[in-house]
Amino acid sequence: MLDSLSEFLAPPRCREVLALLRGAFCLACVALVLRACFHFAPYRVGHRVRLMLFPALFCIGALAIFVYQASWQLAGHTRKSFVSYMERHNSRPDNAAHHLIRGEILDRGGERLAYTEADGSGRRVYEYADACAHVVGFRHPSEGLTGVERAADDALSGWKELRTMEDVKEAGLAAMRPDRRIGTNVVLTIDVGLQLRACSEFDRLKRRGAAVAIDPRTGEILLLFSSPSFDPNRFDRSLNVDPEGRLLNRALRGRYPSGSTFKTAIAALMVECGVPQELDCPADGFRLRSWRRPIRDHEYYAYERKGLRWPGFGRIGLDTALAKSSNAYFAQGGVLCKPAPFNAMVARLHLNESVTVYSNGVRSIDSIAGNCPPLKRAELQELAQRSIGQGTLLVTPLHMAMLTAAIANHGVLVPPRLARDEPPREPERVFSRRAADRVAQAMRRVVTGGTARGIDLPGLEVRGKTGTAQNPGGKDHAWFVCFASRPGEEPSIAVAVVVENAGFGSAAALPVARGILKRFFQ
Amino acid sequence: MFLHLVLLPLLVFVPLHLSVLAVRVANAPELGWPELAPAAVFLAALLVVWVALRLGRYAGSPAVPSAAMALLGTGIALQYRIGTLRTVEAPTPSQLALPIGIATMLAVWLLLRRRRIERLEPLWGVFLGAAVAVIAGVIVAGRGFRGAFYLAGGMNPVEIVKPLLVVSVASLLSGHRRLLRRGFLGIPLPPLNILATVGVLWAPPMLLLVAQGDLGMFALMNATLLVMLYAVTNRSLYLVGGFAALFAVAAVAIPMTDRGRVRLAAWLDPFSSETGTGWQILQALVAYYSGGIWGTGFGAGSPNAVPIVESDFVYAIVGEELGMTGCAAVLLLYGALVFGGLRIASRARSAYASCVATGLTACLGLQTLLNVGGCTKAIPLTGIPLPLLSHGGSSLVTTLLMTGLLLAISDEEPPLGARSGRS
Repeated sequence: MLDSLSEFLAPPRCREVLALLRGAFCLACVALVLRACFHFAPYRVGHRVRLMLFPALFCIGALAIFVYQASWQLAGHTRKSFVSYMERHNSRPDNAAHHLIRGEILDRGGERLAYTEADGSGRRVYEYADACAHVVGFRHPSEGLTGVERAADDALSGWKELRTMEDVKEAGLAAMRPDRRIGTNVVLTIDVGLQLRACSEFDRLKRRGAAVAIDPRTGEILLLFSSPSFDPNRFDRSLNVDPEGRLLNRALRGRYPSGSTFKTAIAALMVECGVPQELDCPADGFRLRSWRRPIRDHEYYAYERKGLRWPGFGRIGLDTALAKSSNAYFAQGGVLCKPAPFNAMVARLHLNESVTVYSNGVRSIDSIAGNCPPLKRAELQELAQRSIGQGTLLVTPLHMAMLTAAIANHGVLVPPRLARDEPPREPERVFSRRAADRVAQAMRRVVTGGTARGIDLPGLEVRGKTGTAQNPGGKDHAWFVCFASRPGEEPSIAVAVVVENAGFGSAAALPVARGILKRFFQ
Repeated sequence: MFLHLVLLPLLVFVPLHLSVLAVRVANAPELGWPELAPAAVFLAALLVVWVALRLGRYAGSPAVPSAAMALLGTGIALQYRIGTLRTVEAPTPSQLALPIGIATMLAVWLLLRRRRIERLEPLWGVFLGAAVAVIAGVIVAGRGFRGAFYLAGGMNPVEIVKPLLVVSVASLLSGHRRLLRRGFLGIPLPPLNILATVGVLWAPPMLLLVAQGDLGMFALMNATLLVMLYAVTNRSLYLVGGFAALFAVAAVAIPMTDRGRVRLAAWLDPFSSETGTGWQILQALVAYYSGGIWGTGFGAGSPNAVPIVESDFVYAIVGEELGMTGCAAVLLLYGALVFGGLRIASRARSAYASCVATGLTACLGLQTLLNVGGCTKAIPLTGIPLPLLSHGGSSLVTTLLMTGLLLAISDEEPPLGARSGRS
């Protein structure tokens, strides 16, 4: 009997039954109240108190509250921020706001990264779940918005253009019609192919890290990936307290010591300052004062572990020093350049600032600021440490990608941006053309005969630099920065990759960059 | 009386319960006996009350018990629907609240009916002392949870302060009503010593409430006092001026506390903290909007999207699932309760009983307005439960106790004529 009843009450009929019962409830209430009002008790003369004002106030209060409630319940669509709120934060299946079709987020090739299903469920679909999670962000009924979903919400939800109350009312009424497209699409500079490739590379490594790629000529961000990632289609509250920090966008908000990749900047600074490029690098390393611990090369320790004695590089030039990633050379070079020009270069690279990659005047997507406070004249030991990417120096992967892009673009930094339709911002000169090209030449040597031989792809001119950053958190972070072009063309991609606690840059970070370059030039 | 006390409240309750059952059966074709327990419990409560009033030859107004029973049924249906009324588990304190509340209501009525309530008049000091002791005891022994103090088991005995204060202050006001009425051109100018006496006696519980951080209860009890003052003196300036003063005090005092500031900000601009302090009220507003004029059907909405919907925001369930019409019906029930209570007050034979009835009715009515206003964003949230509908044992017992007092005042004398033959 229950089965047939259950069948009888299947969804369309259930509504009707509920409507009937609702009516019965209301009628019963009215009947009860009427019966109570018209109950004529035998008249008795009591203690007469006059109580006109309180019942009047009660009725007026109740009526006012009821009317106010109706202004939300029946006319909520006339409130701009309320409809916009419902579109974002509503988990009810039958809310009219589900018929609002939010704008789509597209990649540079027009691939849909995020769109709303038009079946009345209002479900937001993130097509490339893990690969684009951090940059695209997500919309969740109770967690709100993140990433581009948040920053570009005005355009996506379409409420930006509405100015007058009449506009809002009209749009609100129209928005409640089925499947009404309310927002405009947002096109990003991201290349979803690169995102997928970076995602699979990091999946293979199973390590935390980040990868950023920029077009050096235009500043367009081609890739912004952070590992480990998550699936925004199946957001789970436990992610908020995830020990892996999967919600953290490491590409913009992870701060790491840069390790040897920062030597490219020091090399450019040395050329610019005109300091001697032939420096002596003995086995005992470089020490500023006799009582200081020397800054030694990595080979010294490698030989020592084998019980051998390393003879040292001897007198070497810029190309060899970068190819071998000599700590002694660049510590000397940095000290020779003096703190003031170093501070100026750091300022031109925006290392101490948060970099805005997307802004629409209301909300923005920013990186976290790096850490490289200006050095005083006497802080030469710290300068020597920072020159090899250690000391107190901390940068984000985005900062390193910008540095690489500036070298690739002959010393001119085009500020990075994420929205395709945003006009390019004013380019800034970071290094002289001569210095940048000299470093680019040396970085080519790193790939052809130095620490980064593994990325020498046929048919491409790849220039790169490995890095291995010591950090207090455990094993060294692996870094790799590079840029590449086809022979005879201008470099069209600059990449920075960091893999946390993975050891040597050439072993862990370089294959990720190689995969990204392969995908880009295929 | 059968119509008032059993039939009509049952007619209010049954559609709601059937709705929940229909939704459950439509989802899965299984139905256990425990699903019928709420109906059984409510029917039992109705019959007990009806039999008791019948045997006790209740001769008072039927409106108040009728409306109270209908609201009680709506509350049981709401709690059953939201899942706080689990029928298979061992009885919890909040489930025992219903039988305890019904027993308290009937006991108060039996003890204090036929004008025996006037014997409470000289005992005002005892009640005032008890109220002060309860608040102070909760401050000392209780622990904070969601901005209020509770004893072990989630009991909030501060609720009992409402009838205690009304009963005690009523004797002061009705005793001095002629002096309090003195005035000139409609402006009340009572002797200062009387005002000072009332003020000094009223201050300790109020200061303790403020110390406890219960500003909602503070506002509620002061407003109740003003209505009682107005009722015994018939000077409207007490009510109008007093309310104006209360608003002024609220406007100054609320921004001075942290919690007050947060609630004020969440009221004025909930969109500035959508996923933070504004979340609860905005989700409630989404619930109303989803309900529209007719509602989604009882049991078919998703009221759980509003945090802690079963206690202070129970009105949001009504708004979503029964729509504007259902809200109007529920407000009508409260209206019947308030008007029935005021009718009892205006018919009471002694000034004291009349004043008590006014105070109790005003307290219930204002509580309704403060709660409903709070969860529709008409006024800031006060943290006051909706009488008989919100989840919470202490609130339920207290409200039924107040109903019992109203019944006692209403049932003043044995019915005229030879009715002893009828049972």
